[in-house]
Amino acid sequence: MKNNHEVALSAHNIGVCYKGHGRALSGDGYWAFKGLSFEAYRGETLGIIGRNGVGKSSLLRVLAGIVSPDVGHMDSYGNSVSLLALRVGFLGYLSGRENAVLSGMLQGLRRREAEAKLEEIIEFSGLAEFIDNPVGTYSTGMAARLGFSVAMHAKSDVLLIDEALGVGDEEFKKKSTAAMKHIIASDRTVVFVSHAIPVVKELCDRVLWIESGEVKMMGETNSVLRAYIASINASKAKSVSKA
Amino acid sequence: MRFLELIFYKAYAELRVETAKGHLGILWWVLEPVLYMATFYVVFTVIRSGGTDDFVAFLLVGLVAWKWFAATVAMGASSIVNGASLLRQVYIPKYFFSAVVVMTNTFKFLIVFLLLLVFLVLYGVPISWAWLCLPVLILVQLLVIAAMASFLSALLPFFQDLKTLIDNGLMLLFFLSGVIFDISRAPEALKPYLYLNPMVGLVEAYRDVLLQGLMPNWSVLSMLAAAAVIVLMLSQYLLVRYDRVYAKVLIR
Repeated sequence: MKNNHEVALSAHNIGVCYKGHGRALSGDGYWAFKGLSFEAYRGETLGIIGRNGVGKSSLLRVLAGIVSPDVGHMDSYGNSVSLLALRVGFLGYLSGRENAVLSGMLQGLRRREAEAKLEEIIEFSGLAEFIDNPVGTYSTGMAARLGFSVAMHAKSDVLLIDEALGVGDEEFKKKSTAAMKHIIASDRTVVFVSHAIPVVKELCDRVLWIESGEVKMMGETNSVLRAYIASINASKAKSVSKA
Repeated sequence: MRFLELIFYKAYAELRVETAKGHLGILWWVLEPVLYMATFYVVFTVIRSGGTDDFVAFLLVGLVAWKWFAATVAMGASSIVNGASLLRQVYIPKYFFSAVVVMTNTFKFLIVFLLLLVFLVLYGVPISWAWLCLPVLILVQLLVIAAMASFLSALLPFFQDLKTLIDNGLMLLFFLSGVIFDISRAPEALKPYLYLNPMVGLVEAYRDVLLQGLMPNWSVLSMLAAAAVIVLMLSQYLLVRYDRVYAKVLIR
């Protein structure tokens, strides 16, 4: 599966520009990123690395089709693309059960499908005894567990994952990390954004390195990571010598 | 289809939240409009002491229709702005947001409207064949409300200052809508302008049908329906045009 090089998602020279807030129709903007071109192949896991503030969340929103790029264009070749998000549309006064259905529907499931997967979702979340209580009474960790379980059961051809793999308490963190790794290893296409070099190294087939809003390097995981680490060390050394 | 189902479920969820919030739950859907109408009743019967006998029925018919209109337009206008955190997480076509507001408010209106009919009958208003026109009237008002709510929801994310204008504009429309006076007594020269307010024709139509047993003014109603359809199409054009821009404009 991983070697047939069928393109699942491609970006052609895309850029996103933010204008000053409140001046929607005028004013100069700044580019969160610009001139990005890359492709994700079906079944592969593409990692995106880069320092903070290089527009990674803006990029994910463009890939998910939530925001259209100001220049360039995206193509998903008929694949559905979704951003893995926790607690989508949760309403505190409703029960875990009702929220799971609502959240699943917001993430692309039909009502029948969401209800059919409900038992599985509840079991995975480990919240069976609280599932009829209002979500507003849940701890942050419990809500994250339910949110994660729903997101895992929503369907899409391309899954975009931002940052942290595991959520919830230690035990659920292991479980959710394992579930994510399972998805990443499956033939689903995954785009994974992270700072955590070891995780990227373990999971990604290829890596895209973004620097100052532009593609710095793209290629096989080990070689890109080697260059990335070298560049981080170099800039650290520079700031140390300045100080 | 998928989004229609989603609109229904979301509307159901929002109504469930309202019942789950307070101790009185579902009772508030009846109590709140009754309190609202009682306020106007007290104020206006005191001011117009010795007014005509059917003033109560006259006032309530107008208020019920008005409340549906004003509450939905005000809430609908802010619906995309209020949905910011959701629309930054998942892609949803933007008509979804005002449609949910229209649906929940219409459900609540229908309950109040049934109560109004019961009240009118108890009050001694004769039931007439003309009442069969009511579904058409409600449908025209639904179109008008949906059009205004979705049009304003499309604009508000770009011009959030509009919110204040909308709230005050609605108050102006209220005082000019004939809810609290008989529009037929307005100066002739002003009438054509008063009819630019969609609620003038609608409130008049409800009164003709419910209180007089007359047919509504079909030409006014068809013009309103036609205008509403045009505005709906224009809003849908805007919502599609800026579909994937709203998430960028709305910063939490």
